[in-house]
Amino acid sequence: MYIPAVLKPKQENDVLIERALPTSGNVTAKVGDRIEPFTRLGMSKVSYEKIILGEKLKVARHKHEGSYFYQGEKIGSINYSKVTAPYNGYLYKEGEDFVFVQEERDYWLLSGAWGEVVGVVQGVSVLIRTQNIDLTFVACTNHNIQGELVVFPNPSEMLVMEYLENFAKNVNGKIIFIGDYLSEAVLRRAVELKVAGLLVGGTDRSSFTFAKDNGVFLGLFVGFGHCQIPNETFEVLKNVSNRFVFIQGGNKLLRIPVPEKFDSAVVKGSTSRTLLRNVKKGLSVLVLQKPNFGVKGKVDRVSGNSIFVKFPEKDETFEVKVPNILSLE
Amino acid sequence: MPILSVNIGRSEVSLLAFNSIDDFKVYNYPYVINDPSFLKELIKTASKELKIPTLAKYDLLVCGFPEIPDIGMEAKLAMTLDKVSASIKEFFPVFVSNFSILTASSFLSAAKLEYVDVTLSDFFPNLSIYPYLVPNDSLEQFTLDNFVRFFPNELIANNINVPMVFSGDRFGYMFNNDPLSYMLIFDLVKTLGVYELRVDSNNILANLAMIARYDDKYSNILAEYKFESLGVLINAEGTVEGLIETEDGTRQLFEVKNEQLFVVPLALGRNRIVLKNAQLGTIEKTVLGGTLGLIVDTRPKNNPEIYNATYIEKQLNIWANSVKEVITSL
Repeated sequence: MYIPAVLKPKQENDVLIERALPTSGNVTAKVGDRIEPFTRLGMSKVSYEKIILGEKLKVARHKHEGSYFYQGEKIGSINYSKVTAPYNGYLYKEGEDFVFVQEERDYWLLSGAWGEVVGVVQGVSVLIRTQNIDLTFVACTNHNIQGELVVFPNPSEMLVMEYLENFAKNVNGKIIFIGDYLSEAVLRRAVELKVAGLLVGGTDRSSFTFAKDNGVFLGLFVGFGHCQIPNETFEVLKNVSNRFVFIQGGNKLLRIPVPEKFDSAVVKGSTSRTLLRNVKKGLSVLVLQKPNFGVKGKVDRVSGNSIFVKFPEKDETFEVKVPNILSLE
Repeated sequence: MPILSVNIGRSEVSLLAFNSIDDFKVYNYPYVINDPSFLKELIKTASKELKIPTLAKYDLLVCGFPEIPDIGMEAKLAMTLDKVSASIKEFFPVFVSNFSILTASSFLSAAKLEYVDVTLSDFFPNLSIYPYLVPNDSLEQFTLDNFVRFFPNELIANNINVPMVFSGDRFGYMFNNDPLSYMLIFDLVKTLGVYELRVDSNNILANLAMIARYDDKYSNILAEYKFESLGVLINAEGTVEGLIETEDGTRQLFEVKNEQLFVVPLALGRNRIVLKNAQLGTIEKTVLGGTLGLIVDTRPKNNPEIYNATYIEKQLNIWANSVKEVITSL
């Protein structure tokens, strides 16, 4: 009996990645430049925050539209309530409404990848030829995002919230690998902390919908429910914590840039293998049948169209109907 | 030249290695991954299982729906299932998968969600990821079947004068003589009338039709192939009275009231039935019999309201048990 294997991490060479400035600015990179992740490609001025204060704002004395305010300075009042500047910035009008816009700051565009500049759109973007490891999501929200990847060190459910709180000051805009399972409580906290994306083995359908509704990327490596991450996926992720990564939600892809001479046993082992596996005793498998959906185990025996699987932490075997099972090898 | 015909469904790949009508082998694989390298490797692996010595010596035919998938190999004939279905004249084919029905004349792809409680478990969202998953309890199977159970009545035309053959992924690997599969077949035939039912539990119909289309020498292959006969379905409204006379001369009178499902075992052979019903009139017919026999169905199947919670809790069990009794008595 043959069963398919789950998709493995795969190295892709000659990948083109576009890095763009958030607003029009100055591109300093040139075609032919060799680059590394922290190579500066260009710079533009960006204002990150904006508050709509409405039309009822009574502007502070001696201040007016276009005035500059220091952080903590009084902007004015709304219905006798004092309004102070949360950051340095300017007061403008948009239609009838007053808006307070954070002072522009320098934004340096970093490469995020190893490779070569192969194209430049002056003032806008840079095209890089690079190489990366691709991990495939089985399901994800449809966002395209990029950012620093934070990998929680233990993919079990118990410590996730604690880790999130420990990292809380520094997760804004980051992409976090949570572990095997994402609970709704952790998801809600991550949304509050303005996390850009969450990567996980499995989650509930309601959490998936919540992430979609709140504009947070959520990528599942196994499926819906309490699932366990395949070892090879975790092996890749744990070695690339803090790396700048690219997510293409439409293609269900996580692209992790790697150096040119990258050498990984996990990726090497997965490229030359066939997609179908002959089922025999000891084969590592991923069960796709409740109540053990998404749980890893080893084949104990095969009988007709049933495969009996042993889980490392349990004594009994569990009967799985083919095709509710995939090979992990 | 021998032929290898491959039918790629939504959740099952069926392969038929064909030398002649008396010499063929079937291999059904219950996973589908739409990736050329996967399909190519599957065909090579299946060739070994089918004891094909050299794949290059076989004419390769491919069927798929709604498009023909890329299998990474060149095929001598490639057809979409709708065209294959339209070419079948010997039977009225009904190809059923988890989310679609395709007949000789029509196709349903957009199943209504209003009768399917997808929040029942994680099974349904996971099915969107792994389309080949099979339910492991009867409630999930019943709910899954509801995706296609409520197709519009017009999909199966009136006045079908050839046997109906139920085929496709739903009746291939997933079919194991379970009452819910039979119930789905009964529920899918909604219009009033008398129907001969057959089931293609080898999921071979599309491949046979491909071969008949590919080589004129085999144009009669469908007429010659013996699909499993389930028996005769009488779809009626109101009371049905009747007489069954078997080949060995046994006679049995019966009366089935409105809103019932009545199954009488009727062995394969020349059985005579006489029926009286207000809508159908008086019908006298010689029928083949089969695995189930004579099925008299007076449930108002045009009305989706009957498939409500009461149906699942009470009636489904009663009806499914009457089918089960027949199966276990065989």
